[in-house]
Amino acid sequence: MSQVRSANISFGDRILDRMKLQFLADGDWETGLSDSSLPQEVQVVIRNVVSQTGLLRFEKAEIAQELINHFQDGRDRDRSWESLVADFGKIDVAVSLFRSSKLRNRPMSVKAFRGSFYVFGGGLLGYLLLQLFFHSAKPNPSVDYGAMLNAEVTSAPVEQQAWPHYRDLWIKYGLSEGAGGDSFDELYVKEEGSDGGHTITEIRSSDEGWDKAVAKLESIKDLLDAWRKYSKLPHLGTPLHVDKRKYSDADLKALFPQLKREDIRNNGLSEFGFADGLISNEADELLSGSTISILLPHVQQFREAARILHVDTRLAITQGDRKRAVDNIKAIHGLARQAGDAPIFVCTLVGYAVHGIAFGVTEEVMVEHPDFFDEEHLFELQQQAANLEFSDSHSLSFEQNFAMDLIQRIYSDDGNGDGRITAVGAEVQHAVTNFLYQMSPGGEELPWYHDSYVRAAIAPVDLFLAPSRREMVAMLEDTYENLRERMKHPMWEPEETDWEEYVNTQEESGLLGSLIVGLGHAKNAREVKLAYRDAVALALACHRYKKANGKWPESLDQLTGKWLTDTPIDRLNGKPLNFTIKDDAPVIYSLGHDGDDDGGVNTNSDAPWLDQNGDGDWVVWPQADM
Amino acid sequence: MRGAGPTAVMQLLSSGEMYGYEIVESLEKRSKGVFELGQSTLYPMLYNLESKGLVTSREKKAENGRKRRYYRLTTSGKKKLETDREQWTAIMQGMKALGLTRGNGGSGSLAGANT
Repeated sequence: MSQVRSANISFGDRILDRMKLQFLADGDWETGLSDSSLPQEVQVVIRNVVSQTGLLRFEKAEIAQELINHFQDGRDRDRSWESLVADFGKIDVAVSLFRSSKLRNRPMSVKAFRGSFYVFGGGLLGYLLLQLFFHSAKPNPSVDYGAMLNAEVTSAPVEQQAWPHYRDLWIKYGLSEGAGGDSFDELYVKEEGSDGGHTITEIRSSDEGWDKAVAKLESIKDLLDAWRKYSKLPHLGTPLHVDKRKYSDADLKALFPQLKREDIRNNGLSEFGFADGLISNEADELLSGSTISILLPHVQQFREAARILHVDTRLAITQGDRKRAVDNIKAIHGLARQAGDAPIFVCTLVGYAVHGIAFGVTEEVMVEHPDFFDEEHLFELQQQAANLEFSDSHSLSFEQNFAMDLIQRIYSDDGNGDGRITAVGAEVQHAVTNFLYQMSPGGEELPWYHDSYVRAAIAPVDLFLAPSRREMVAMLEDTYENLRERMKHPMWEPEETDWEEYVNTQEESGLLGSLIVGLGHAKNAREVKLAYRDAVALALACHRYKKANGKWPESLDQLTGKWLTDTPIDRLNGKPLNFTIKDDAPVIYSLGHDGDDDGGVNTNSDAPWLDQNGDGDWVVWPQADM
Repeated sequence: MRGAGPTAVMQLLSSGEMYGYEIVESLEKRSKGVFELGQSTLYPMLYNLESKGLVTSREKKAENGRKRRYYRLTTSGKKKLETDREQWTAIMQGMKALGLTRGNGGSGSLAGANT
């Protein structure tokens, strides 16, 4: 008689049993039952009971073996098969009792295995469905923010635009970044620093190599004349395109001299996409089509232009050419305005910096050659400085559109202003985050979970963590409104929340937090330049007063009105700006964070101006950091 | 009565290990037909007792060469049986006091099985 595979079932079959992979096992309880000597009607009873329990194979085998023995033992006691079947009871009751008792008696290892199998299987299935859902939506960018920007920067009448006049000179002198054109090395002096580094400063008439500098300036006279003449125009007008195929041949040559039109790919990308290899091609094209791809290879060159005009001003002084010196300073201010003409934060900052150079040149002339300018020139320079507004009317509009552009490339669009983060959008977000990390000071390395495979595996979590499109847009609008308010908010009135704290509250938005963290510095950059502007106007008023009266003014009251239209204010406390006369020259200063008048003595700190907290004042004129 | 079947089975196993049909047969004879269970219910009952740790089983080759599963009481099972006995004795005494039983009545077979 055969034995049903029960307690002596092989280890391998037990494993297969537990995995519910019975079809892989060799033989089963039914074979043992068929091979038994039991009559057919008894086998039917056993088969019905065992098969209906729905238990694991080894459990069925144990029951089958038990029942085979039961009937055979009964037969050995001379009971008829019919009576044994009759005494056995109802099949359905037996099935229920066998099943529940076996389940209760099931080994813990089997329960744990099956439990974890179902949990893992269910989890895997859920995860796959989540990935499927995550990948099912695509961004659908519908607003061309790049075109909007270009329309804005080129909207002025062509006769008000300076770029058409600069363009050929940009090509001639290779002024765009990386153009490899003239280096203007003759106009700079390289000095070794004590720390092994070196500083580069504009050459002075007393420096070795001045003759070569003068010759260089003579050789670029057309460039200097153009800057002096066309910096008066109100707008720059340099086109800005995402798709570089849209640049005219002349603009392409001036702005991207190393980029050949045939190297621009069909989709408008340059030879390499924004983040080729870092993210999928689909995400790369999506990102490269955004305003993040707009490059500004010409803007930083306005600093170079200002430095060149600075050296030419030194030459004008040696030549006694007052008009050219004044024209140079005015040209630097004009170039600063044109650099900041595009409504882009970077351009605004460059504009601030170039204005700072113009103030520095003014300061240098007044400190080193206080009698060089006559009243007419001093008045002209004072008026120009005083009228500078450092306007922020359009500031951050591009940055807000830049963020909106990214949102429409990261999120799906339900047509009602809402949507969810998409898989390809998550890649776009990663590339931007990576870009911002690299751009940040110190170039932080991205954490390990930014590895492409790990990132792709955990990206669907964004469905639960990332804000919706509507929430993101609302957060964006609030944040930029907050930023604009902060720009207008006087420094002497306390703010409700610290900027760093505010940024931290926006960190949950991920991308937005990264984008805005640097924008908070715009206010300080502007305030520092406003302070310098007011100091320049006040210093020039002092010099004009002295020229007229033969002595320095003793108070602001003596200046306001005839010599000074508006009373300049201390940017930190809102009170009139302080000045004193030292070494026969005006010293103009803010009282600093401590609010004490230390008589125009600087704090003993190398920290940036607004970060100095020590005892002392903040001397705004002369800054002597040119 | 609920709980009587398992107690009866444990009482049978208190005298030594038995296989399935042997239990069915003994239960029927020694309870004088009172515990004439549907035979299919015995094995689930044994599995339940096993899951509670009151009974354990092993496979053993019988004299006729056939492998059978034999059941016996565990130490826990013996303690549980002792507790059940006390409860049943108390119940029977209560019933007797109420005049519901005559002499040892139905409990005689259970108490007798213990002798």
